[in-house]
Amino acid sequence: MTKEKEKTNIVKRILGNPVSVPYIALILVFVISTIASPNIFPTYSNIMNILRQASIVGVVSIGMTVVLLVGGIDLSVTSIMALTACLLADMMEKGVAAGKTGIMIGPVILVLLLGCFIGLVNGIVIVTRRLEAFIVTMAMNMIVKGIVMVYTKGAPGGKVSEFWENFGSGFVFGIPCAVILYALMLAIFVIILHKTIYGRHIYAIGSNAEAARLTGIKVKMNKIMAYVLCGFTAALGGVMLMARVRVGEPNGSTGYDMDALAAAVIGGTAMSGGVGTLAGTFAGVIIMAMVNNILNLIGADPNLQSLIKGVIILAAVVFQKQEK
Amino acid sequence: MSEYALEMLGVTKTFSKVTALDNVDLHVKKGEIHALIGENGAGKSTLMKVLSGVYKPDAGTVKINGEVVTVKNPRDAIDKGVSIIYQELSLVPELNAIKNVMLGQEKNKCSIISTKEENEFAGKYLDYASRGTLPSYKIPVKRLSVAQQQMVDIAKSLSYNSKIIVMDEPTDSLTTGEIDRLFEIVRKLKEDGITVIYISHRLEELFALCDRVTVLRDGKYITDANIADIDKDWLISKMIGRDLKDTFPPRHRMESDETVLEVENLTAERFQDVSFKLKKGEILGFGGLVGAGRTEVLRAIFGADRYKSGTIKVFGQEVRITQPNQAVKYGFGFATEDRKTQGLFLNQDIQDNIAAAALNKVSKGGFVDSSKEKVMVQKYFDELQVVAPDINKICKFLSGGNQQKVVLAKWLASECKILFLDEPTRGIDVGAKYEIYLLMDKLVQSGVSIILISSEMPELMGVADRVMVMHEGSLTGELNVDEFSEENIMKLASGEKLE
Repeated sequence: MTKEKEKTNIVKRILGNPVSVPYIALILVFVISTIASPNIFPTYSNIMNILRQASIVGVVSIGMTVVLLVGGIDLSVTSIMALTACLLADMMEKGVAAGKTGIMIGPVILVLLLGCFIGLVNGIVIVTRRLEAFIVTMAMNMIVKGIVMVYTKGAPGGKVSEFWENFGSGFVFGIPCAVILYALMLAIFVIILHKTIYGRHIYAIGSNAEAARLTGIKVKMNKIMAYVLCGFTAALGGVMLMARVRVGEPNGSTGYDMDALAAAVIGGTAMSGGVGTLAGTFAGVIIMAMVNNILNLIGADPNLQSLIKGVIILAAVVFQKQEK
Repeated sequence: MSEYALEMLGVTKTFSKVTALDNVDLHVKKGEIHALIGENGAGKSTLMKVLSGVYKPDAGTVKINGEVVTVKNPRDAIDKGVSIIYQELSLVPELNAIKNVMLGQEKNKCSIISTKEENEFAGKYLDYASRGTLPSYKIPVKRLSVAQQQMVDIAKSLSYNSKIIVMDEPTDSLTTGEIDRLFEIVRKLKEDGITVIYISHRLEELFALCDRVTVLRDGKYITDANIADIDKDWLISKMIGRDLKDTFPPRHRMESDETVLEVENLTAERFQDVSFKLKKGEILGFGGLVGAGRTEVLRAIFGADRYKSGTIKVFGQEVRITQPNQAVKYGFGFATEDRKTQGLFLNQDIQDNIAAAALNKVSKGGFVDSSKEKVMVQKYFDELQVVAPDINKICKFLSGGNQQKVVLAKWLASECKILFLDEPTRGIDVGAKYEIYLLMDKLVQSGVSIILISSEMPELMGVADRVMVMHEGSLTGELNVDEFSEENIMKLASGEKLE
């Protein structure tokens, strides 16, 4: 009797948890896809393929979730990705010419810091001038994109060292390297958000910035830090993108901003801040990657992808609103 | 035809477990000015929200002109001739007076607005309500004074052809001259056959203006009477319905001469030359009317707003606080007046709220020790007897009293030494009030010093050891326990001197 009660309690708790909604959707998409393509979709190699495709958006969506949690948004991620990819590929070309094959940690750290720096500028402008994050980061996106275009003249360029070529296509213990990096980032940021004072303050600020200020939380500092982290994950996404396409492609990152945003929203992150989890965002990332994958597998018109994605996002927000 | 313009019979409304209205009756005769009074939380606003269709009652009937009606929503109420002028006026600040009046009822031909027709239509009502005291109908209403905006709101209500107008605390932020002008308008409305329901906590106003009065207390109908037949003492006894002795717990104080906070000549935009001392283990009351600058003084000390000049000493040491996080480090705590917008993280659970100002006490190197955190939160959750299933309940689902307890628990957890309480009992029920008074008593015994802002004079007198009174940004006097009386506080609050 009590055990049964416990069971229903557990079911209730699972259903009551806001994170379960995107995961139920995830399972649903998985089941439907398996029925639609029973021979290819549920295979190990295809699943790994989905995860690898998801990993770049996944990394970008981590920082995006943090920024959304403080009640902001970052629309400059695509150009940060393009900048880091092109700059790093360019620096690597010289290295490769000099016979280097390794990780080239110096240039990599440099571009990651560059991403942080752009995030820092975003954050400082938004917080100190009390401006709309939407406008500021959109302007920053155009500025950085312009710099990339002038720098590359719009054409792909540069080379990728052997280490990163292997990273882009290689496996460790049967798992793609990019997926491992994504998992690592996810683990680090889950700890930051849920186990540190900084994480708690992020949620508090997003939930009620004025109350947070009057509670003695350093709202401005923490907000700026959120944009720095988003700049960092975008830059890391750029590095991963470069490794995957093996060249610095100035237009290669198009659409990652909206995909990252959509993943967060599907995962239950509120645009108004304070509500959302990385676990939810992860589900959002995987749902979108699965949908892309299955549409390819069944040979659907590629133009249909946008339509289906849009419907999923719309359904997600409508459904989440009703939940409350 | 019925004698009554409005009857509300047996209205009951509960919010989850809290009964806000319990079988309340209201009878308003045609063309009278009917006062609706009661303490904060007595149910006045809830009753009016039932009338305007914002809330659906659990039980009870509403009759307008003797006919039973169901008010579905605020728009429906307006169509039935009832409009409400809220304390926070419902104007669009960027639009001018004419456009505000016309909002939602634009005069148009095929969706093209006819400006001439609108000017005529709205102008008629604006002329009536303002009697030419508005500088222009064509400037954004945000550039008008509160009193002038109120006139625009009245004109808007009249333009709906309302027969019943409810005014919710209309004089709260008006000057004496403006109040007189408002009264003229209200009397004019009465002459023209419009029924006015007037909500106020200023008793003098009722005797000056109203014909009849209905008293509510703790969500219950107490009585109604003709104003001519009653006096102020009778009214107060009906409103309070109990002795002050039972409302406030006995005082226990530690005797200490140590000064914990010393403020000298503090000046900012909204107040001037404020000086006072706060002793250890003392409750210092701040009295005065709304807008006298009390909250602003505390906000400036706490670093929430800037101040121009003056010195602040905390435990004898001069400090310059520019950010609330510095204030928290010096041992300040501040439970703000508006807990929903400034105190609580409504979407987060009780645990996150209580721990918010004390995370550094349960963490190492930036990492929070969850088990320590839970123990700390649970301790204050139990101590304050927050009514909730557990500490994981989301705060927006708690009642006002429990939300306030969560805010207080947050500051207790931060182990603050100087606690500012701004209207800590506003909008919460009597039982919870008593618990908060008990808690304050316990805190000062343990050496915490409290500054209490309250607009309820009985509360100031029942809890505080000293009361400082402010009027238009200046301190006008200080009262010790033996000088406490509503009259003295009221005199100082209106800028008069005591003999």
